[in-house]
Amino acid sequence: MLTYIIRRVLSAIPTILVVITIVFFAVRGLGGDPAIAILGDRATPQALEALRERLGLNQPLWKQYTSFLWRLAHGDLGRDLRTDIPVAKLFARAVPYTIDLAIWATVIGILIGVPTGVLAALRWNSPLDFVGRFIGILGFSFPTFYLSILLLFIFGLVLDWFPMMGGGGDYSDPADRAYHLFLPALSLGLIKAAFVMRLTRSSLLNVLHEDYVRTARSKGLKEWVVIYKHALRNSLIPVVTMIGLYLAVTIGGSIEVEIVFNRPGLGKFLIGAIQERNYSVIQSGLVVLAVFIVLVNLITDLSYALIDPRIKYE
Amino acid sequence: MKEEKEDLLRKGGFTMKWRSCLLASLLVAALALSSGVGLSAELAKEQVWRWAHHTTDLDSLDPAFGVVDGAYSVGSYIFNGLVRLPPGTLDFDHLEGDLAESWEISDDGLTYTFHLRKGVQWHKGYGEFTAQDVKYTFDRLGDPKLGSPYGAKYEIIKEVKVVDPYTAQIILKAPSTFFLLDQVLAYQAGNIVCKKRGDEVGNKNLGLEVIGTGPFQFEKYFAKEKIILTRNEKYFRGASILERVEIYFMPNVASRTLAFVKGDLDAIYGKRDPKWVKDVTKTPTVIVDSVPLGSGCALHFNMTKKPLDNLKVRKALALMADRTIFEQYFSGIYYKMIAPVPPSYYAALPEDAAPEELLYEYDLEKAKKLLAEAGYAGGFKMKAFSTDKPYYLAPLEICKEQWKPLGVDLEITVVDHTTFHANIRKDMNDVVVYYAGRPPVADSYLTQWYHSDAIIGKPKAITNFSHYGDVDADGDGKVDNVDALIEEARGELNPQRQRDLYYKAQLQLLMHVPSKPLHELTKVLVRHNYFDPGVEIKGSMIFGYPLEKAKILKH
Repeated sequence: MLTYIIRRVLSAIPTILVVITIVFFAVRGLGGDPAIAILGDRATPQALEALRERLGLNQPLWKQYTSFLWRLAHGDLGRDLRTDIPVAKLFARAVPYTIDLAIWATVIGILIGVPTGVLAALRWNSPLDFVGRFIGILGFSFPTFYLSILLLFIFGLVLDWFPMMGGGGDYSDPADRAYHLFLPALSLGLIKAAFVMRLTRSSLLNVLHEDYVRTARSKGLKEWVVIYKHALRNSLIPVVTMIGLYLAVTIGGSIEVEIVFNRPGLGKFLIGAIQERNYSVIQSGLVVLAVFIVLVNLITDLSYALIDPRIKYE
Repeated sequence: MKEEKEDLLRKGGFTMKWRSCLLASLLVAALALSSGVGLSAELAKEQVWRWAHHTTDLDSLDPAFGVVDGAYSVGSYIFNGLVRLPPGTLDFDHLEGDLAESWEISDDGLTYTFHLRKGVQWHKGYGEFTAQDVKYTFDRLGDPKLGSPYGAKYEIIKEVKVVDPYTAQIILKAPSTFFLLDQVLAYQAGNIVCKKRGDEVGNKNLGLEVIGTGPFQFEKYFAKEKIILTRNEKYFRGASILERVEIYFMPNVASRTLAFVKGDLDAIYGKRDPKWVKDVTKTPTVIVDSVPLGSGCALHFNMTKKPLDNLKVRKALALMADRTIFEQYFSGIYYKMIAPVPPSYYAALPEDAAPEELLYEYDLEKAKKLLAEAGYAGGFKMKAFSTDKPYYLAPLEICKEQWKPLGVDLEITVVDHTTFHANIRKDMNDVVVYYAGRPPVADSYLTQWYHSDAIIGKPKAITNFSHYGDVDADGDGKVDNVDALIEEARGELNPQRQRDLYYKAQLQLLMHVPSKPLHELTKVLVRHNYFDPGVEIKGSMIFGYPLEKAKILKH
């Protein structure tokens, strides 16, 4: 298992390098000038030039690229071009907000999506199934941004159950953090639940018609044993795979949620950085995301063994 | 005509999209739910003021570097200048001393002597404010190695002398009657910074943890979320009633509005959208302060591009850019702008001082005739990049529709705000729509948009997109400019003569049509009635309220 993990981590390095390279050049292909974004529209060309010089934006691209790689290899994410604060320091606070959000949205998605998917599959073509499918399609097609605003309106303003903004304090006050996290996580989680529900339903429907399920039933096993032990566990592998892959989408959705709920997470940093052409923040943010997604994929792969004991890692 | 206008308002991209509809509906519902706040004259127990900005974050609180709206607005609570406008006003004729108790101007207009307040303390034990701090502030701004975006306008300073600890003298290279308003005022780079702190940090951006003399001091900053300021107990005008100020960065107007309606925020920067303003004002306990100094908006014609080099063509386009449509569209946040200087700025040309033909009010027949005379009876094509900000895009889309009857086809490419700024500085637009708020004097607008030094591409370029000053604007074979008038006015010490010079420059610009002035949009400050700023809000230089005398009432 350890060898497998090491091999996977090593094989992720080229992937991350490719991501870094694409991000580095794509960011510079966006157009716009970070110097104007930083100094504003009153700055003279001399002031702009001086800033470009100071930030190294005048250097040839290959030089900027290699120095970025060199710094990254030494664990230096650079400094925010606007505030001059080390990006690592900014991210140390921001990334946990986004990870909390992504993880709890996934948990909510699974807690709602898997049981409703199972119920819909078991009551195939019944009114319950139709309702489940309808909600699934609705969830799929509902933009995260509007769902966030609606939840904020209902639970924040009308019912006054949850706060309207902010991410809560640090981990020394977990209750406050959870209080601020619930609505944003629900916004993303409900969308994810629709996805998980549809996937679980279709996967389980396929498995329910397999011979080994019929065999289990003919052995006289109780129905819940057949469903849970034989059908559901076998149907979960594609579900788990897709949940892992969908995490990247969840991170994307977190950008909108963070803006609506004013959570100071990575998404809010990235969207601001893109508007400002804050190269160091964009590059480092996307590298952090790439590493996060690689890690999630690794965890997803490792979780197969828990679901299906026949799977071994060598 | 009426149908035409309604059609224009619809076509110009103003059909409310379902996204806006949803937000508007939520806003109306939210306001209906807000029960109305009962008010008392007593102070609330907790004197914490919560405000939300429309910006995503701050850049720097260093007055020499803060350029985003949020930054210099927050800075105004931390710093003082030598002089200031009476809080809540734009009363340029009644400047009051801030860190300076009084000042004198030499007869030749070159030497400004400031007599400073004694005993003013810098925040957090940084000692007493003295003339050394004044010298440090202005020397620093003029230092090209610092690279301040405001540096160019401080080049006028020849020398700053420390006469004694409480007397500072600023000597100019040339007289400038707007020196107090444009360079010294407690606004943006005019705020005085602490030398001791500057020496600690070195000759660079002071960042966010700044030291000031103002009513509030920096406490804590949370990137992309908020900044907290606490009361300066030693403030020289007396400690404020508010104990703490929490300023949130909330670019999303829907969430900002919902948090405000719920009462989690005491005041917010609103939306420059008449529909939004109208909805918000439905609640009697919400007060909207839609005030000048807003952002002036003009349509700048790039006169280096054909056929915009032809005065008749520009006049025709100007005649078709119908201000009444803009007035309807921006109703409630609109001031008519008939001259290159916005109406709330000092020495803006009054409407009654401009001949009727220079107002360029809508006239299709005249426009068609001019275009035919210029040899473009069949029309022509133009290109423009626009930012995605609605109030930028709207004027271009309105003009696009208005120019259609002339056969003029304007191709608009929408890009993000940063790309827009880069593109227009590469001369990629035939026409540029530009909004800007500047120090409230005619000089700042005329210098930055119409002086030949400010032409795009030049070493001291700022925002002269029309290239006025480098081209023959009226077709008489000579290059036209207003440089001499601007410079003469800047150095003119007699107020009336100075106004006349600025009026003359503006009239010349109206004759040569390098731009069509459209409107000034107000600042939209919104508050609950339990937040009392302590002064009447008639105008604002910053995106926020004056807080020196502000209080939260029991509600």
